[in-house]
Amino acid sequence: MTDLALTAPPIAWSSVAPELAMTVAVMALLLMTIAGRRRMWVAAPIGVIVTGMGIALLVATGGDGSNTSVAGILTIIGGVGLVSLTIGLAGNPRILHSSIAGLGAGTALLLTGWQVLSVAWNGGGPLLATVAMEGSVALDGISLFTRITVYLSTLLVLPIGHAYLHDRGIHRPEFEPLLLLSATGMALLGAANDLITLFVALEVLSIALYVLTGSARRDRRSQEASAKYFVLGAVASAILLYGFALSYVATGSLELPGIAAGMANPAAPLRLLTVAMVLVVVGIGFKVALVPFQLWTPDVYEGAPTNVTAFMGAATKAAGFAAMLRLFIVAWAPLADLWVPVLAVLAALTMAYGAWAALVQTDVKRLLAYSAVAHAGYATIGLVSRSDAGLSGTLWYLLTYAVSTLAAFAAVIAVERRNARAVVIHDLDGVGKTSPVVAGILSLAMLSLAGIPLTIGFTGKLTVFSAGIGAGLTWLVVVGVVTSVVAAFYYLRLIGAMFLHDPPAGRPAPAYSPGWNVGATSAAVLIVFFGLQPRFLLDLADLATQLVR
Amino acid sequence: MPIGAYYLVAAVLFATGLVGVLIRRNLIVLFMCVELMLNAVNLTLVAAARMWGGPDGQVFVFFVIVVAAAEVVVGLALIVNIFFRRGTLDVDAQHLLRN
Repeated sequence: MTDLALTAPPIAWSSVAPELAMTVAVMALLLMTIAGRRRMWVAAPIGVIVTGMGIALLVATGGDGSNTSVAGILTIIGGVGLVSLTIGLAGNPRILHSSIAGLGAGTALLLTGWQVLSVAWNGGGPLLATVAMEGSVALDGISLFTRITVYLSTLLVLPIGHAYLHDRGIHRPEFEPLLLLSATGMALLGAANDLITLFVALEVLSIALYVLTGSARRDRRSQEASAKYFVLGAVASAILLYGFALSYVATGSLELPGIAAGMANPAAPLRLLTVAMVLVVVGIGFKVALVPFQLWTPDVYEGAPTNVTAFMGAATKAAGFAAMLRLFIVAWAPLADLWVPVLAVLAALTMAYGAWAALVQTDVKRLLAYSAVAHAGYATIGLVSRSDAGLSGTLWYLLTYAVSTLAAFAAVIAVERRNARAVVIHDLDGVGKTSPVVAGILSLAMLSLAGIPLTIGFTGKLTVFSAGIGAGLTWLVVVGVVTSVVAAFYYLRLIGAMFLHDPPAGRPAPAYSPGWNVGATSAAVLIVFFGLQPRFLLDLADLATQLVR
Repeated sequence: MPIGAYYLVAAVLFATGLVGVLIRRNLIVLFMCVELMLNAVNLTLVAAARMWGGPDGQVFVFFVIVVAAAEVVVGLALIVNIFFRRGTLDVDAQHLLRN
């Protein structure tokens, strides 16, 4: 009999601490759903157990103020929060479920902050890059910054969509667990350092999103969107997977640094690797919606419930690009001469097509979908720059895009709740007069997406464009600037409709709810605050250049 | 048997699945084509694991199988729901979402 303690490697739980918090929240929510009316008797003990684990962590470290004891304190806060929410909101299960989901995402965000400060912080130098779980999980700039973006989006989208889900009658108890699972998959995707972890994380996020897209079960548009997303997503996953398999055939490694080492070997079969690269570009291009693989985007964005669309736009893009950055900058680095031109051309096509196609849209969600396509192109500029500035530029760009797009969809949600059907541009006529707050938030989001100075979007565009120029990709940056000008036209068209047109008589005013107020205001404040004062997070993005290699 | 034969069979399987996805219009058939593609990947991975003499390719196969099973569950649930709503599984019959 072998002693298991000798053979089993220790598991570095701290490297996935935020995901653990999310998983605990998912388990609590699922068990509460099963328990039905007795949900208190499930959630409270889970909270007590979590608190106990936090105390154990504190005791184990002796409460010496070391970094682990901070994690212990955060765990205790999470556990106590869970117990008090359960008792305080016992009479209102819907709000209780949303709050617990928010608590999970909030704790995850705090734990991410703890990871930045305790593990990766290097006294102002580039963040340290370490691996855990036998090299499967990386703890470095990409993973930490992706976590911030994803968990922030989750935290914002939960309150924004709460009343909307209620209005449409699609707020079933599985909604929050699926949203949290999807977010966990996204965060893991940013941290995955081998192909198995990457694939599993990608599928966790995708499968949860297929269900969320189709969560309006009686709405045929939602069902159609879900079916399209599912079929195209599954095909894209299979293509990506075949690319992974072929790169394994060529290099004999599933770990990203190992793949890079295998490719650097002059004996590596170049033709096979080229095929693998094309397959990976196609597969991941589908996920982040690069032209010509963007066909699903407008349909899925339009058909999905609007808060799911917001989450999809904000967080999935960040996670997909995190995987793309890691795959191409770490694993495919030796073959940069092959993929840089391909991705640069795709980026130019994506920006041009997204801007052009959005011009003729009347449905606001479709318009935002094409704008999402265009923004995928801008984020790719940072990737093809292949520099530290490009890497941090892309990470920062994704955060700016996530916040702006969440604010935009929040405004759409407010209008759609009273409208009770898809929002077209004419539905925005005169919103500036009937409800200045919604109009203000949508205008702010549009200005930010267009990249007007003093908004967060401007700082994002500035970083990726300067990274592109620094890498000698002036033509690509010129395409980016020209398409930004075109894009500004349709963003300003929405603002014009809101403020220059008169509201038709009898048009109901957009709906507010307490959660929406909190979420949308936070998003708007973030847009302005980081537009004026981007230093704090931009510095963090600038430090996020050290990768596991 | 040379290892290349396995790769070739896998490539043919994958191409069959891909062509099927592109030309067939029934959701269930599309779904079967995706499964075919995933199994082509599995065959490639197992052959490559044999070639490199390591376990990681075979481990990957288990993950692919599990994920494919999860995908089947979600996919069939969606398909059943769509069939109840519309009475057909033809993807061309869906046209609510258009430019």
